[in-house]
Amino acid sequence: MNEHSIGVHIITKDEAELLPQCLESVQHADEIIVIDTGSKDSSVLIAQSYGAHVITMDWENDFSKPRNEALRHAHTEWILMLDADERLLTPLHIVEEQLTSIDSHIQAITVIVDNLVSKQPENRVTHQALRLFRNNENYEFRGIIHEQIEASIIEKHGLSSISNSDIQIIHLGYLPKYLYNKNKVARNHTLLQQALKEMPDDPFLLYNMGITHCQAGQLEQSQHYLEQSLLLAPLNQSYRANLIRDLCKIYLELNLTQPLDILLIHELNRYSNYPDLHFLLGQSLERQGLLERANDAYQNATSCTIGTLNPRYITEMGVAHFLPHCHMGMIAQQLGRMEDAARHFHLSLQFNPLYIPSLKGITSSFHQLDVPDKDIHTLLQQLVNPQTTEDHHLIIEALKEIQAHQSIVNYSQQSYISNPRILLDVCTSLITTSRLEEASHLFNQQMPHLSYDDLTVASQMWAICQWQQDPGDLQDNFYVNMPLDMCKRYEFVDQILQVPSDTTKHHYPTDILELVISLVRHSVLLHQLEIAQHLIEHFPEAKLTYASTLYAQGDTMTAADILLSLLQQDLLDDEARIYLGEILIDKGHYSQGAAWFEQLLQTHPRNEKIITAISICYLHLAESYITEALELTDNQHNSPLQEDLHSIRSAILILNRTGWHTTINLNRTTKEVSHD
Amino acid sequence: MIDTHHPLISLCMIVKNEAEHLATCLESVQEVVDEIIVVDTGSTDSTIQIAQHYGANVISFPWTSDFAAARNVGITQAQGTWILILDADEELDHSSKEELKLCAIHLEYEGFFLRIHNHTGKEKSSPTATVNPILRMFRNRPEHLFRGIIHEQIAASITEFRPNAALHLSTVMIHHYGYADHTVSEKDKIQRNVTLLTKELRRSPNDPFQHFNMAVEYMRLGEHQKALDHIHKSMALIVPDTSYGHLLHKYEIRCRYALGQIDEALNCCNQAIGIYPEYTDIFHLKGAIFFANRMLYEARSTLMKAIVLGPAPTHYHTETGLGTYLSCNMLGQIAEEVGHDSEAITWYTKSALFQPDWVQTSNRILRMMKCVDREQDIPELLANHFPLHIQDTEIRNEVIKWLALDGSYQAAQSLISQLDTFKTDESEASWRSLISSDHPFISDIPQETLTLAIPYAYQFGQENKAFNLLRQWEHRYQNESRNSTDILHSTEQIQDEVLEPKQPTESLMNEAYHLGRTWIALTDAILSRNEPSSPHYSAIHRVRLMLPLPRIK
Repeated sequence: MNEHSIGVHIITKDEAELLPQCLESVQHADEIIVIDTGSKDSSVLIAQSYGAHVITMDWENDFSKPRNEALRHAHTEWILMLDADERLLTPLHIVEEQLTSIDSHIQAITVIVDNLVSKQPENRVTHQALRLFRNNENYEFRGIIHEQIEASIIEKHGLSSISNSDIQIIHLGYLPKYLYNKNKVARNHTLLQQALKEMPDDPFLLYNMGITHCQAGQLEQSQHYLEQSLLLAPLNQSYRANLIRDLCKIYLELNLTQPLDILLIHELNRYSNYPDLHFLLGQSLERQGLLERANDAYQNATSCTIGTLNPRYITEMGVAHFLPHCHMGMIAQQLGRMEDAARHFHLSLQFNPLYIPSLKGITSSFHQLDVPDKDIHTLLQQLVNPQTTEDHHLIIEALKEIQAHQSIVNYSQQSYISNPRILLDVCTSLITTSRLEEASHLFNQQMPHLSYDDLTVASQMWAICQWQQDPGDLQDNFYVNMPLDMCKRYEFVDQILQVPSDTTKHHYPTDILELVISLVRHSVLLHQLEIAQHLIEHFPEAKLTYASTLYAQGDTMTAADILLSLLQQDLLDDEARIYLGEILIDKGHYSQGAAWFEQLLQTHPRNEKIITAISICYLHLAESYITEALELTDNQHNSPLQEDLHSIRSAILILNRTGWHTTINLNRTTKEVSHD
Repeated sequence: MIDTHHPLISLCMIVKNEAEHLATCLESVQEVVDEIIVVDTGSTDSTIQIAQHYGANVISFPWTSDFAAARNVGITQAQGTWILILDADEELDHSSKEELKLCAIHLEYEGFFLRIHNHTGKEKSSPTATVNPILRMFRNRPEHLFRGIIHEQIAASITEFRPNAALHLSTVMIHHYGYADHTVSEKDKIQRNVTLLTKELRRSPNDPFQHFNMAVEYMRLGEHQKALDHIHKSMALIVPDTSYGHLLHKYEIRCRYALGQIDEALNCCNQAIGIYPEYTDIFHLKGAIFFANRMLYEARSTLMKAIVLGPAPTHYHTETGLGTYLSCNMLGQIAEEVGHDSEAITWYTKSALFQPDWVQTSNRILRMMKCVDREQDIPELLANHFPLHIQDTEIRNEVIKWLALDGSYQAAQSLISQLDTFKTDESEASWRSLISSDHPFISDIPQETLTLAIPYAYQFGQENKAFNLLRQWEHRYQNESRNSTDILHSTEQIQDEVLEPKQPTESLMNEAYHLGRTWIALTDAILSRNEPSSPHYSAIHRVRLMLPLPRIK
């Protein structure tokens, strides 16, 4: 073997699914050694087909044993340690080149491990790990789990014998589908349990036990082990920072903001250059409505410079740039500082131009700043620089935020109309802007290419389109590509709409009513109110949907009238009741609002939304009395009541930041107001 | 009264129209001073008669816009071994009489610093804003004369002739009244001082002390940039160990901070700490700057240093509470901001222990105990940490009432039941009977009873009764409110000055306040139903801590 030969060592047990992609990435290695610890699937055969030297041995609840066994069989100068669920991303010949130019005193090299955690490309976690080292009989793996060779190398040659590299490995094992497919979690659990029996106070084992529980979705147990580990972990241990990050993620998941805040206020002083911790603190504070402090935390996350980042910190992609900037943008929006918001979203997009929350954010900020839709569209084009239909769809998603129908409609000329999601968005905009014929034309053309789900939505939109164009019946081409049961339902509705409505009570089948309700919602969303009204004349059951959709679309006054009439007939659901309460509060009728929500509380005694609504009413009432009291005092400026009023107003502000109120489409509301 | 032998202490004062204060001042030095010399610069009230009543030698001296000149007229007349300087609005503390007499025996010293306690009000019991050691008693020598038009200073002339003069920091306590609101805050007076100081600085532009004084006046006027300029000039001119050197640093930090120069202010703090490592005020100030800029960790560790140092050593100008209750209190606020409730309770408890007036802080503790669901521990906490307070019947009753107003009915009850001499609180009895009766509303139930009764009923499952009472009460208030505007209206029309609208206004104000208070108590009661597992629990918890506290007066 030559002086820079590389051997790849892999341990397997039932890895048939991922092993091929792993071996593929290293097939030109000088040697591949696979230690199989009892696969029942085709792992061994696969390994052999790639020319690997396969050694089978019994599984003895200790990862170091098979690793050290592999070392005994190694013939190469260098050894690359891989897992079956990993893949070498850097081409092997480049790795070899790097090795030829390396100093002879260097014994081992760290590589970058990219852990994919979900399908979204931005959801990845990276860290550095020691994976490449010289073959030396003095080196051995230690630890029954998360086995490491580092300690034995450092003992012999010191820390300076290890250097960092940008060689990259992709790890797929954290993707949910692989985590649950394989029983790795259960295996690790058994392993750790045994080890903990012998060393119950080993912080690293406790840490790994916490991780294992977390992977199994048992967050409370995970929290317990991580907290135990944190109590025992020495301050100089490199995994301690990661342990804190993992614990905080669990706290956040369990909504335990208080222990998170307390922990991080101290630990951030120690790990001030760990962006993930700042980011987690920011998320916790943002959730509590402490926007200014959350903003500080995000700002700190962005000032952690990647270059000086401790390589051992496990860090999430974007946590030092596009994620915190996006959050700062959203905070600025909440505080009404639109220029700041736009600036932060723009910064965020500099780092990741395809990040949809930032695209939506920058779009709505510029919209609020009265930038014309056309210019916003141009900006989005520049930022995203769309290459694929996927990219175009991102732009449309952003434009939908501000109902820039005119801009979306322009997409119909392009070929990517064949993307069904874009088709539906474009048609929505066409109908909304009353270009019904064009929409009909597109539906007619594209119907045959749609999946069942898309067809369901498209046919509703098309039906509304046809009724709006011609109050007569639906045309024949409407039914051409439709499954039979769907045809029957539309024919039924279409016939009912032909006869004049009367006051007699009809009982229609449930599937018909479901269709009508959906049609009514779509009619309102597409601004085709005549159709919606026509439908509810014949199907009064859909009135509630009509009113609720109007409400969410910002026409709250029309909605209120209908909701009140439905209230008299006792036809409101809880959601609609909440809408009515919200209207009372929005109009400043706090006494009535309080009484209304108190009634709702009777049936939902622990509902946070209702509790918040009631307390907001109470606080407004308190505010008005204290204001009156203040007006009756002699020295208003120095009165302690000023302080009380300030506290009350801050309390209302924080409560309103919890998002208890239904989000109402503001675009429509502003239009509505300007009509008045 | 005056010693026929060689007099030991000569009190020298300059006065003009001080009839209001002079008697208190002279009374306080009876049997301490052996001679009183009063230089009057043109009183038109009974100042001179009062001075003479206490046996003072009164010298009339026309005002020449020069404080030092007036002071020196008095000093040159003094026969005593020691010159004691007091102003008419000052008073020697009773307990310091002996110490001052003892000082006068120590002839190895050239002078003594006395501790001037600047009170914000006109009473000895009013809070002390600052404590300032000032050279106020010194050996009577011809060369010991005052310099400076205002803030006339003696130290310069003493150290000039005897650079090694021994000056002693005594603990003699002088009370100075009306420091904040009465005397000094008048803009005219500050403007007058600025004019005088400008004149003085034109004459001696390199006098660091006058630059310092000018800075103080500008700070009072809120002109921090100008103040800063004079501070820097003064800093460049002073010699090491100047008595007010530390103050220059403190004021520099204040000015920087007021000008929004946060980083510079923090730099100044570090500089000052380098020179005066035991000066607590700087640490507190630094902590406060960190806190205001939401740097909670840094604020916390800096304030902890202030606590470790304790009150500043006697030769520093210091504000009471720094290093003790004010620092603890701020640490409590920081812990609250962090969300560390139990730590906040600990700091507030420490703070309350330091404080003579503990009510406000203890109320904060009680409120927090309720919010963290530890209402049942309140009696024990009070007994363990504040046994002396809680044994006082008056304070105890006050606490019980406050607890009930804050919705901690159970804690209030258990405190009542612990009373040795069982004494039923009248209002307590009335609100309980109110909710148990079938027809609860009587038109003239006092507001406080209703404020207690309604949240009580609401908390303990009688919401309907609570709202019934509240609606009727609101109704009563609206009627009263309408009547009172009618009265006001009618008085305007018939110009009847016999009818005083003042009375109804005050009761109406109380009524409105108590109604507001009741709604706040109901807010707390409803928010306390939110469960820890709900998504915005922590935000709602913070809102509860944010609600205004009951005010007993």
